[in-house]
Amino acid sequence: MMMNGKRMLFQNLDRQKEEQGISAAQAAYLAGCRREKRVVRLWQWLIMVLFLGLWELGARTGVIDSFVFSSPSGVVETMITMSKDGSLWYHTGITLAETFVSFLLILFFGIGIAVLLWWNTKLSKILEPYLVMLNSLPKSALAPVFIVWLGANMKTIIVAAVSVAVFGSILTLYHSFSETEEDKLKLIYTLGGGRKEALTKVILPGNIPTVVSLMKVNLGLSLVGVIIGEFLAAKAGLGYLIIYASQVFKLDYVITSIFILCVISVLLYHGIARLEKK
Amino acid sequence: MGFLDISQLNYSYHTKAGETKALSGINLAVREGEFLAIVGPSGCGKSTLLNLIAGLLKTQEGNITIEGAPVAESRDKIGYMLQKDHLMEWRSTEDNIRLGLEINKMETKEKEALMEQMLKQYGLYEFRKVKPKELSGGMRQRAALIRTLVMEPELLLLDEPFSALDYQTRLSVADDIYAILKAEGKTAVMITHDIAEAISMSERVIVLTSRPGRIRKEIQVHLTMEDGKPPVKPSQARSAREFAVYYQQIWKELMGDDDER
Repeated sequence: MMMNGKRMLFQNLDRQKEEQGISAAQAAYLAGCRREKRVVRLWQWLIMVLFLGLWELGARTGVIDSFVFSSPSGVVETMITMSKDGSLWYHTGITLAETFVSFLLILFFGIGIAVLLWWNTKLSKILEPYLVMLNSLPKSALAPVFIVWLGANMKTIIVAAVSVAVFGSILTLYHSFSETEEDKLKLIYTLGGGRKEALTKVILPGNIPTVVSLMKVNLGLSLVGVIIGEFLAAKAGLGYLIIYASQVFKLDYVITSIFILCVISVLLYHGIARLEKK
Repeated sequence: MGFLDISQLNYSYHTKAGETKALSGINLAVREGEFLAIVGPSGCGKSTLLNLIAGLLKTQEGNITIEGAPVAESRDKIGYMLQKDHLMEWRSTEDNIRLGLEINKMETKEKEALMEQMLKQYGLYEFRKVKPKELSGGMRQRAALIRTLVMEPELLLLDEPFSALDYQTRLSVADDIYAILKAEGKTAVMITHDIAEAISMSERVIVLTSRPGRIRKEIQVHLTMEDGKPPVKPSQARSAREFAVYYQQIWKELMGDDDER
């Protein structure tokens, strides 16, 4: 995201330069900025090429055991085979679908329950210690319980993923709601409104930035929750693939799955960042 | 009987630490079209009194009536100006002004026309589509006033409406708001801790004692300028002949309160 900001800054500066003509010192400064950016990019690529190159070299020369550590060429081969037989898209699709469903459920219950707590102060006082407890409880401890209750299926995975992030979301949102300036609510009351108007005209629109930043965190957390769930209770998905392949020592498949997860998390992050800018 | 009548009003707050008497034995009548200022030391119950008149707090003992009807039934006759403008940053100027209309489902053609006329009259028409952060402090306060006035209240309650503004803006906004209220012929009750503001804007100043708030003194204000006429704007009032006398008188009443304690 920072890179994007910089890119925009440079584009703006370039436009300004064309418009007004700039001093030599300014031109030198801009050239310096561009040079620095190129150096940063160069190193970023260099690290990746070096890492992959050494890995591949090590695997080929037998310095590292490619059976245990896999190799970049092995990963590429695996990806080609998997995309040919469609299993790549199948497992990735399942994981993505589970992540989105969990994410939407977290958002729905997070906002819904936070509103309920804000609406009913007594309820929030009663429930606060329970929410704090549930929030700090390691949710992976619950996953086996969910399997027993719900069976080893997609329901369990989604419930597990929701449980990872939903309590934290409720608490964050509820506290953010409660911190709304008292006088803003008084304004609504002086204009003849009630608690409903305070909610729809002040609390909800005023907390959109909190909701968006929460979405950013929750998308990552839902992915974590889904993978935990798939480790334990799945017949498909990248988490299942990692566990299954590691048990049968197909490390190419494990590394490929992890690589796809890297790509997914980067893409999801950028998706939300783009939403945030709007 | 005035426009606004307050009789035998007592009010107490209850906290775990105990009971605090905020107001005691308040009797007050405000004429239609009058501008009344209430001053008092901080914690004297000024805000409590205003919240009771606005119907935001329920009366415990005593009565408050507007044109003979209890305040609970007259809430739509009351407009309230808070210390800060509290414009919602995500709404444009005109959407902020529409807030009260939306809440009361009064978005009629007549109200839209009234809003447009007020925006033009008070120099905000060109700024109706912009977000509040692009408005100056004075413009924001005027927008807040239009938000209140577009509801066409008969009684305006002003809760230190200028205290969040810097001195320069404060004087000019006081002039603006005074002119608007006089032009619209509204009855107004303002609470303030600024003696000069109270004298320059109001026809009558009520001095409250500190906790519990009682009416200590009522002072009728009659100002005359050099030419023998009353001042047109509050900012001119400060150079009226009697200004210093009133200031001294109110100051003494407020200080006298400290001596007694």
